[in-house]
Amino acid sequence: MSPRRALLIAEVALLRVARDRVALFFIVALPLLVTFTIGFAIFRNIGALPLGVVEEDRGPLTRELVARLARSPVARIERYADAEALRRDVRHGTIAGGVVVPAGYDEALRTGGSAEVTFVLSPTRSAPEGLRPAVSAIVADEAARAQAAAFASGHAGVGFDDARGLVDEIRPDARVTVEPESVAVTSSRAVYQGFSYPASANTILFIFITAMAAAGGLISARKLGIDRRILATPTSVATLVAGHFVGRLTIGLLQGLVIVGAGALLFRARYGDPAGVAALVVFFALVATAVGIFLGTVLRTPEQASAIAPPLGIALGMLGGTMWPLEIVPQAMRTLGHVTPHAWAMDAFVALGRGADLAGIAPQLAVLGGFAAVLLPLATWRLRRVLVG
Amino acid sequence: MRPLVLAAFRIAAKDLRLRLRDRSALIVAFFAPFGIAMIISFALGDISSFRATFAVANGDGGEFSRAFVDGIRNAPNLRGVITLRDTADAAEARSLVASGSVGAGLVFPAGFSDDVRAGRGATVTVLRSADSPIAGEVAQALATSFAAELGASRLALDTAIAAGAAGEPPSPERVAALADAAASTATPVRLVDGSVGAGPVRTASYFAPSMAIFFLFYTVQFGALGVLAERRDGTLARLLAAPIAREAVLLGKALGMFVLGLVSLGVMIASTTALLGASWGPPLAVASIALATVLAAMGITALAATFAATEERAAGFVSIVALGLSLLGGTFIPIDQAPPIMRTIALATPNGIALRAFTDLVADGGGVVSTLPAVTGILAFAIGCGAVALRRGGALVAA
Repeated sequence: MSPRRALLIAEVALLRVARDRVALFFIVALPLLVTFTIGFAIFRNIGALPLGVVEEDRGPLTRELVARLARSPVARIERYADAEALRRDVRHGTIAGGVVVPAGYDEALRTGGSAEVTFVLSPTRSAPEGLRPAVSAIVADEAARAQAAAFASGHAGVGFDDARGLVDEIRPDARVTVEPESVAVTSSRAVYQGFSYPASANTILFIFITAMAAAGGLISARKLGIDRRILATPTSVATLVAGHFVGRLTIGLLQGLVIVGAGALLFRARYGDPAGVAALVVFFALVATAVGIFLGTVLRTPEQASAIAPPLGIALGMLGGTMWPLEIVPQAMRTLGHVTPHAWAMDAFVALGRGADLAGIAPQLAVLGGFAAVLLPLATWRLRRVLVG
Repeated sequence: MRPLVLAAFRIAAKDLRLRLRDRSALIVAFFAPFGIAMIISFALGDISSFRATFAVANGDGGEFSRAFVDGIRNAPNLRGVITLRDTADAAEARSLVASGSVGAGLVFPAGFSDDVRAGRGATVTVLRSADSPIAGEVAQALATSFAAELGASRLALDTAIAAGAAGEPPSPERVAALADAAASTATPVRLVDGSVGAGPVRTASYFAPSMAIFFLFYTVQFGALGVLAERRDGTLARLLAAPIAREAVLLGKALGMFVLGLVSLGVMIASTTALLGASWGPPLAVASIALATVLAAMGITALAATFAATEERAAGFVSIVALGLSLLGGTFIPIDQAPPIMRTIALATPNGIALRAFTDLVADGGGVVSTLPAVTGILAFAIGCGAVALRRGGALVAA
């Protein structure tokens, strides 16, 4: 293999990229679009979140509950006439969550019966931090005070409302508290919230999908006879593959750079140790490009490439934990997911976010490197067979 | 008119045969949608498959910590979901959480029950790891509601005493009796999680339609790309030299892609219905959205292709459009978490409209009538883009 010739092929490919609006889209516009979409989605959830409320009971205790919810700094109350409209608006994202106070709420509190207050949250969103705990705390507190009043009323023979007045005067001298403690992590803030997790997940997803698109281009070039003409010159197949590879790799690297950089600059995302992040992006771009090149040598027609590449990119993205965190899937799926390079890259991102450095993610980098080290020679061998026979 | 349609059918059949031969049709129409549906259903299908093990370091052994542990063990809705594992001490619990052997840990210090009984402060520590945020969330919620219940019993007792239930001054025996009674009263109100629709709505019901629509762009692009490919190969000239109308060529290409797109979407719907056991809604309503979406995808990809000189660039443009529209329409990042402006933009994309129509159908039911506005919107894209594409494409074919 001639390094100089490989670099020449790469340079030509790069020049084509620089003048190619399609490639520029993938390198600049797409990552920026991804960054902005995530950024706005994440950072909308600061300040008081809109919380819908449906009061199916008209009693004073219900009104008190709603008034307390309204006073909470976490929520901004919006009243709804019926539960169906509330559910729909939660589903569409118009409001962050909803509370339905059922008919019979007052009755249950007064007589010691039971009632269920419903909290509505969309399953596709991770719970906006603090909304459910805040609502749960208020509902629990209202319930406790009513429970105390009902109990006192029953045992001391006083009226419920008088007893409630007493409750307000009681100051519990000490409470049972719950203290969360983070084990084995440097920061207590969960990695899955915030900007950097979805940003890294989507970085990986899109670098891979873009690299898959390379397969079609390779096949077209082959069909047009470009490759054959290059091989007519004293250029080895390995050089040819290397040239294609470097050209495509650059696109992936630039993509990663734009997303990571834009996230850090615009949304102040912190991914962790810079050397580690850089190495991770490089290694993943290596694997993604290798898969794309390999596909380009294995498939025969551009139609096949277009049929396989997008679903493959999506499937691997799903299995690897870039569309939803692997924590929520069954153990078997989590194990299966680690057949994909995506899962290893996500593991490394999470580790970096928790404070690991370059050495800390060496195992994941080794696995990613392994993927590339196997696929590239395979692609060369395959292309040789196809072109030279 | 009949020769036109017949010619179109023949061209469509030829295209489909070619695609079947290189197996891309099989992949696109069956394997890809079915495979994705399988992944979604295995990963997300059984949302009740969340399971976690919590380590419990009970240094107390008193009635309150035991009540908590027994409460979790006996709770019917937690059975099979939460498993408790006793540890000798807090250090062992910490190491289990750190190593990931358990999802979270609960630590009751020595003297916990004594402190609670005496009305002094007491603390339960919840050990959480960043590797299992959900397990940690659940453990903390359980501990918090337990603490709240203890507090509530305490409050009930104090209120009753203040109201004179134990006599004035309070007699120890009556206080003790009241304490027992207070400890056994249940909280009158529980917070339960409700669905966002009339029926249960799962994450899977969002991903299935969103992915199906995403693939559709790539599936149906070959009608338009095919025209470019045939122009390059020279077969287009030969087709046009034949005694069939120019329109037949375009119609034939479109027909082939329409069939492929519809089958692809249909397989996705059928397989997710079978694998997840969930319905997409009334068949007619689903079909009308599906049909409109396929037509819109065809129109858009055709329009994108008319801006390209070669097949490769056309594929690139289609990819740009597919990814861009999908991002804006909420395919990859559920748009319900985004600010209002972005949600409005999502509804300006045909895939965004279709996605919302499908999810509304699953959540709230409905029928052909309720989906009419969405279908109309999607068809508007189909007709608009298709018309422009035909005009531009006509020029291409003539050239």
